[in-house]
Amino acid sequence: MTASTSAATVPPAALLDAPDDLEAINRLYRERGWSDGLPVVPPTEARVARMLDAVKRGRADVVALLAPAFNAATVERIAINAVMSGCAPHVMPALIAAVEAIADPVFNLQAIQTTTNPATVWVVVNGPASNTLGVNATFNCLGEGTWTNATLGRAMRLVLRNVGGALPGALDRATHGQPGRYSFCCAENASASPWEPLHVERGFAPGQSTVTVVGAEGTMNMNSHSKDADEVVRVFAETIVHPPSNEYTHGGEPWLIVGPEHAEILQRGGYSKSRFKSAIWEATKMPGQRMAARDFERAVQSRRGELGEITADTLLPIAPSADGIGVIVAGGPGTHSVYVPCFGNSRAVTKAFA
Amino acid sequence: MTICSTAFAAMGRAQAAKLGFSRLPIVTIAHPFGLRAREEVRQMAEGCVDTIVKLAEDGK
Repeated sequence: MTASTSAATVPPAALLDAPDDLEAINRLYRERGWSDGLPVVPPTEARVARMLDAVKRGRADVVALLAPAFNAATVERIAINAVMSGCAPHVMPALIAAVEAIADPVFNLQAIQTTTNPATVWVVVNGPASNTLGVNATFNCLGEGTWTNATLGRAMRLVLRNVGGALPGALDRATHGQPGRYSFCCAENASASPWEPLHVERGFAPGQSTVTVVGAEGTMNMNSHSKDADEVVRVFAETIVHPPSNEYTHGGEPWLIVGPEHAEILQRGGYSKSRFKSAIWEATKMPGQRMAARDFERAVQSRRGELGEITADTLLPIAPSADGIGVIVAGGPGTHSVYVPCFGNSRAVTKAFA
Repeated sequence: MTICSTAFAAMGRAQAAKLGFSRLPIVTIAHPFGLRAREEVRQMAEGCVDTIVKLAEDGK
């Protein structure tokens, strides 16, 4: 990729004289389009320095070039946005790893940032850092109330916006967006899971800390009081199947956040994580004729290479293979799980951090 | 050169400039056209095809 900004030409952040007045500073940030709409913590030199002290990399190091503007995400720029979000300094290594992850080509950040779809970056934390950083994996883990979930997810959004240049209505063409674009971050509730955690499944050691980034379009709650594992699989699958889905159009990567109670039912019913994925993959195959004609045409064009000849009777899998279904266990007690529909043309990326 | 609808033209110009192609010719077509009948789309295409050919030839 040729970009006008390279590591050699990234200047340090400019200093701005601003009044010692929180309201005035926030007015300035809103006017310049530097805020997500919520008040920000002013990134003073002292605050940014504290953020930089928490990482072992130079402030000018380029972590990634971020689409669609292809500006350099230097450690300093990430730190500035981390301050603005309200992050604690010890969260910086996780944020930097997440920024590296979204720049992996398979994540397809260019499309995530510029699409009309409501895609955003969902950050999932695994390993020891889930506890040391205080990332909520239990009650209301996708909701408000936990500092790290709120600010790590928000810092990602500010980096996407202020470094990646995805400003709504300009380079960011999201038709509606979604609330998760303010912040979308949780940890896996590994201690309540009967299965191996996500990062181990993806090749990392149990003792490593990781972030996984997912191109997520939203959340759909699934409340089932069933105690029958096969029935749980069936109703999950029926939730996932919906014709106007980018995932069926392109062969995607749907994610499921399985609540601990449902996970236990599934495990007691003989479902390993792998078997659960296979069962969901099979049960979510959808006849092409359920799609609107024009959407079906798009699916035919997009998935011809993957599926060969596609007719109205073809059973379209939601993902190219069962392995393409993402699963974590998270949440508190309750008969709920969550379907996270994803962008389709994107694959999750996991990075370790220390 | 590239072709995009008016809703995406500003994005195309900004990104082309950022990638070092500030003079990239961009042909724009009125947005939206996805909901138009095939014949209407054909008329829109015919309305800009000469421009596309000229820009493509200029870029040789």
